[in-house]
Amino acid sequence: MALTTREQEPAATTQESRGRRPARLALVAAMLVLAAGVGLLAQAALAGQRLPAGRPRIAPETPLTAMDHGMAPANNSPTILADPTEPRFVVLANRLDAPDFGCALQVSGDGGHTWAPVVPVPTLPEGAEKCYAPEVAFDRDGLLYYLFVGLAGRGNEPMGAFLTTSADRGATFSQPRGVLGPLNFAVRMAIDRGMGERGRMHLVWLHATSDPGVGSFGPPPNPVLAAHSDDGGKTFSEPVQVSDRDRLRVVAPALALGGDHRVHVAYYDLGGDAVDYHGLEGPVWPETWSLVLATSHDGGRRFGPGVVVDDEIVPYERVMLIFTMPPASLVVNGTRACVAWSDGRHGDADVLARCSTDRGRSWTKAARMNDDRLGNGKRQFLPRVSLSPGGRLDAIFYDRRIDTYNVVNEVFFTYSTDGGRRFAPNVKVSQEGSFSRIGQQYLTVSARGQVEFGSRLGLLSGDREVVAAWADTRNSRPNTTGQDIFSTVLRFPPGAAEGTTTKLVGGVLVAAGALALVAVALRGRRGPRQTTVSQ
Amino acid sequence: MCAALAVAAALLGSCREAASSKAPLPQGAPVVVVTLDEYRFGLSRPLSAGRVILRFRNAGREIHRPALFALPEDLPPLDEQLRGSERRFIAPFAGMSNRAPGATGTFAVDLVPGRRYGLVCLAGGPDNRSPHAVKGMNFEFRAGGAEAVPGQRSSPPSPPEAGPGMSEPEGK
Repeated sequence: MALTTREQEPAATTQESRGRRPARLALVAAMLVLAAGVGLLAQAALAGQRLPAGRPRIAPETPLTAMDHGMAPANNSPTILADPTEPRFVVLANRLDAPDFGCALQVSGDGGHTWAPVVPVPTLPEGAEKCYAPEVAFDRDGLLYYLFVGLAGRGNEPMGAFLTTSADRGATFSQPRGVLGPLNFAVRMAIDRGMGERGRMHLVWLHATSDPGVGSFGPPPNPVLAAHSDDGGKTFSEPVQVSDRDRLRVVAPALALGGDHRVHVAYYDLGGDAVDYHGLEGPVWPETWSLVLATSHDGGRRFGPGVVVDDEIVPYERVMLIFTMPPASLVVNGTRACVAWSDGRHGDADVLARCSTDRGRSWTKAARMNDDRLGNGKRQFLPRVSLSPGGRLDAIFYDRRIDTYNVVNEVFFTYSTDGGRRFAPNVKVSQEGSFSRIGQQYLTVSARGQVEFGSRLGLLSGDREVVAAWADTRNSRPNTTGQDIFSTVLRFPPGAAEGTTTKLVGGVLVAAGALALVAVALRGRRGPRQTTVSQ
Repeated sequence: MCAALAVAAALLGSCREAASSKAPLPQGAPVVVVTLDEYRFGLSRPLSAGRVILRFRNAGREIHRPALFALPEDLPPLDEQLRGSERRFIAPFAGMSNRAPGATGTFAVDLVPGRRYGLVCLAGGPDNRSPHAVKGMNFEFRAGGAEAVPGQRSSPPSPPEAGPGMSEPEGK
């Protein structure tokens, strides 16, 4: 009696052998095809060889603010945020520049499709005469924080920053509580919901060390500072300096939170541009500015030296008011960061973006997001970027490419699925243009000939839907200040425009599935090692 | 002891979570679709008080230009005023530019409960001499009133419909 296995059997006939050879060849070919497919997928995801053909559908626009030709309220600078506990609850905060400075809040219960107004500050805190420059944030329980700057006096000086909260989705708000003293400008707020018992609230602002003039800072330094609160804004840490000490003219901070409790702050370094910094008479600054990113790796206790994101930023107009200078748009998700800004380096204002995948240490080349002809003299400005959960980088911006006279603002949208290297063909979002000469005007020499159109646009990215908001003058009368907030929802077709993360996850799943299939096929082809007994 | 603390923490957590999740999701401002035609307005629903979004669609063959006026209480009925020889100047408080046939447009307004309003077409017709307003494109209503659709007679103002948290139109 001998024990043999089926493999050892000399039983395979010539016919069987002929049958197995094509099967083996087919299996090898299948594996090669699968490997090539996975390789191509990874290449497309990592190197951005191809942008998906998805083009978002744009819903009819919705006006969010009420018209009043008599008062001509100037609503601008929207920002949009979703409740982490209930994504259908979305808020939009904006400021008013006319008939007097003010602030507003709109709320939505259906993800930004429809809106209703609420009153976030029914009673101003003592000493404050006006509410201005609102910011919004949610804590992990869905408590809404509304931060604003109180203005007082004939010069509308910032007398403090205040915080009010709503636990009932905007139906009522708490009495405002002071969180910062006077002479603090451009206050930004964000909450790290993963830190501590209630989440850590971060504030970043521009601090004037001396009484500023009308629309101008006093002698530097007037640094960017930061502080944080672990008790919902009741108490704050001692402020720490964010901007590098050797950078004297720093302005327009932008705040975003990354993974591992990192705090990122982007700001402009105007370098030698004392003309804009002090609001002096003069032409557009002929040299360049820098965009700098400072990062705290310890939850905001201290900030490391700034990393220069770009040092060839060419101003294309005077800074109207240094206190409200539009910040760069900064967005961070985990270790990924992207920043966008307006830049005149190509001969007219374009919107540029750079991204980083290493926590802001190194940055991609500046990519031009607008796709009109280079140097055509048409202005694109005030970009806002946002990251979808799947990793798609969305952007909107004002765009005058359609207008022969370069004065009518439209709103355009684009996106990138390769980490900001390439952007999809631009899509016009606004259905009507806005005459850009309608809005508030200031008497400062720096603002001569300019009209205020706000410091930011609103953008909220989901994987399928994107909510965009902007200041709009389509219905306003000429020679007035009337600006409305308009918004719309862009909807991607299923499967289109997925971000790099989604693609990579998909690629990994496909690869794993393919390998599993190959393994099963191999086992099936061989069959179990059976033992036979020959006598 | 540990178990008691854990239960207390869980209760605290659930209470805090409940703070926001129990509040109802807000409803968007009502949308009224206004169809523009020769020479009338068609409204999809009555005009309530508070924030209202008006969406206009020109379903006619001529250009139209809708505008909204707040009417003083002592003003004669709008149709009478438009056709009369003595006219008081009132500026519209909301409106839009000309809308070509097929075109759309939209704006939002805060309507004060019970206040008189007039919706008027400011276009002048093909020859620009026959204002659409006198041809029938004028419509007077009180915000929140039962007459707030064209063709219904005036009635006393209804109570305000603005819900909690709605902005105070008077303060605008």
